Amino acid sequence: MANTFCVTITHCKTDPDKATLGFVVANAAQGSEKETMVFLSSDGVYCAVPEEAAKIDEGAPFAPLKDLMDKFLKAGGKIYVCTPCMKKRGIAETDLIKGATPAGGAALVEWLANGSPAVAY
Amino acid sequence: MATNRPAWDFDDEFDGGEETCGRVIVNLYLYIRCQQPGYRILVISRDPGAPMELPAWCRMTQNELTAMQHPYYLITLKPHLVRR
Repeated sequence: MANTFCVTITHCKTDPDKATLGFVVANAAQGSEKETMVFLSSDGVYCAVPEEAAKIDEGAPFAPLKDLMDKFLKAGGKIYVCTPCMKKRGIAETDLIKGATPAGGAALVEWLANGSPAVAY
Repeated sequence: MATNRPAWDFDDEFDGGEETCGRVIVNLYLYIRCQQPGYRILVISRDPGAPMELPAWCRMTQNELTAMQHPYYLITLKPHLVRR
């Protein structure tokens, strides 16, 4: 059984439900002692911008996106943010939530190539 | 479906409240991560998915599902790490 896990999320403003679900599953993975990385790309990079994440709340039974992200980071999860996707949208590293790391395709490929299962939202 | 609280011996209790899915898991993980191997935790989860979720979580984390009677789950933490 693999000890790592990856959740890729490509939505935030475009589909808040998918962004929320992605972090719910990421919490399940990290909470199951899988070293878990969330890779935010395309519109999903907005999840790492605090002002944008604060707008996402799908309501019960889901927690607000910011709460899900805070819990994920507190549990030791990693958040990587696609740098070209940030640049396209005018998002700077200083705009990101504390704990999020700008990264590119190589970081994602390395994580997966080392045997990590992944799920996409 | 709630049942009567089982008469199990346990050291600590975790009530997942009305949370479901990954929220129960990560909250439980954060609650128990500083506790000692061998501790018996009474987990209460009303999530209808809990009968699937908590056994899977125990298999992945090497915690022992000692008994279950939804919504009650008796989990023994990392029994393989207990010093004898």
